[in-house]
Parts: sequence; structure tokens; C-alpha cells
Amino acid sequence: MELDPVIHAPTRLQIVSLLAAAEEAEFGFVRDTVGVSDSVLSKHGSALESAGYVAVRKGYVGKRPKTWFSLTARGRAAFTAYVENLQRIVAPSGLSVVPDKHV
Amino acid sequence: MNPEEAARSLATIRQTQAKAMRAQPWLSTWFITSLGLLITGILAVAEPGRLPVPAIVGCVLLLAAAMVALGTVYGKTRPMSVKDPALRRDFSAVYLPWLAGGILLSYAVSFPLAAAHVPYGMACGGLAMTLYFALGSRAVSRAIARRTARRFEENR
Repeated sequence: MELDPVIHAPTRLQIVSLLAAAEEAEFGFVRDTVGVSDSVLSKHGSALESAGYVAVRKGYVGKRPKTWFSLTARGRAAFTAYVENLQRIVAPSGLSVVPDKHV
Repeated sequence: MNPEEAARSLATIRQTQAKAMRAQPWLSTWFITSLGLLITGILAVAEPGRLPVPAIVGCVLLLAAAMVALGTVYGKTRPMSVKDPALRRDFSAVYLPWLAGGILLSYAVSFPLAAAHVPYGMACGGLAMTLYFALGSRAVSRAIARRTARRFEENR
């Protein structure tokens, strides 16, 4: 079973997971929740945007520039398929979901 | 990927989503308190016999415009917006009863004062509601966060 390589990297999976739960999320909020630096989030955000999974919106709140991320329909479909594939891998083993203490 | 790694990835997904729900300030104190103050302002300027009607209309329109501006700023400064109907239901299940409590408190304070012809009795009710909003919003926000996070931890 092939897992989508675009969202398979742990940081990207966290970013896409967060965005799948939201309509739109601000750059700083995603950075702090996922626990990465500005540059790491920028890099992964650009990769996800290039793949057509994430839409990036830039704007201002007062005079401060802000960036918002949202999952595109394609990104949402890819995430759903990714989760379904993970569930297919897990199901035959009878494993329950193993909590990851690092998140 | 083996089943254990897949299970770990699924756990990571759930925990990331739950963490986002917990980190989201669902109900900002500044927003709900400002809203309460603007409502109190409307109740104060609408006090019968205090201001001429055109002045009342002008002030109410100004305060209503301030409410719209407040809502716009709140919408723009939220770190995350959600559309999922289930999350909205979780939000409403905590927020609406609490909001109703504030409105009932406002009535409970303002109507007896107005009936006793206490000046600005209705506005006093508005002030009581604003205080209730200011003091309770953090706890309500945390309760909403816990409820929405639990949905991701348990059900997804």
C-alpha cells in the first residue's frame, strides 16, 4: 500500500492534520502547535502549496503582515485517503492507536 | 510501513488536532467584554426621557457600527477558524447556555431596577451582564477547548 509521499513526512503530516481540523489557521498558530521554527514551517508550507494541498493567504491585521493556511479540496482528499490507508494497515493487526508522547 | 508505525501516525494525527483545539482561544475575554460594554452603552443611551430621539438613534447607530467593527476585528485576529458542524455544535453546547445565563442575569438586575424607576436601571443590567462575561469567558473558553479536543482524542 503506497502512502502519499507529500504528507508522509512527520512535520507535514502534523501540519496537514491541523489544517484538516480547521477551515483556516494563522501561520504563528500552526508553528506553535506543531512546534517548529518559522523557516521549517515556511519550507513545508511551500512544498504543500506546490503540491496543491495547501492554499496560502497573505494579509494584514492592522499594520502587521499575517499569513493563513488552509487545506484545498485536493489536500483534504489526500489527507482522507492517507488516514484510510493508515487504518487499513492497522486494522488486520488489531493494534489500538499508540499515543505519541512527542506531540 | 508496519502496523505499529501506522498506529503511531494515527495517534500523531489525533493528538495534533486535539492540541490545536486546546490551544485555540475559543472565546476571547476582550471581545465578549467589549460586546457587553457596547450593549450596556445602547441600554444607557436608550434610557427613556434622557436624550432627544435623533440623538438616541445616532448613538445607537454608532454603537451598532462599533459592534460590527468589533466582530470584524475578532474574525481577523482569530488564530484558527473552524467550519466542521460537529465542532460548532460542541461550541454552542457550552457557549449558548452560558450566554443565556448572562442575558437572564441582565433581565434579573435591570427589570426590578427599571420598575423601581432607578435611573439607568436597564444599563445596570447590561453592566452586570458585562461583568458576568468578563469573569466567565476564560472558564467557558477552556470548557469549549476541552470538549472539542475530546472529540478528536476519542472519536476520530
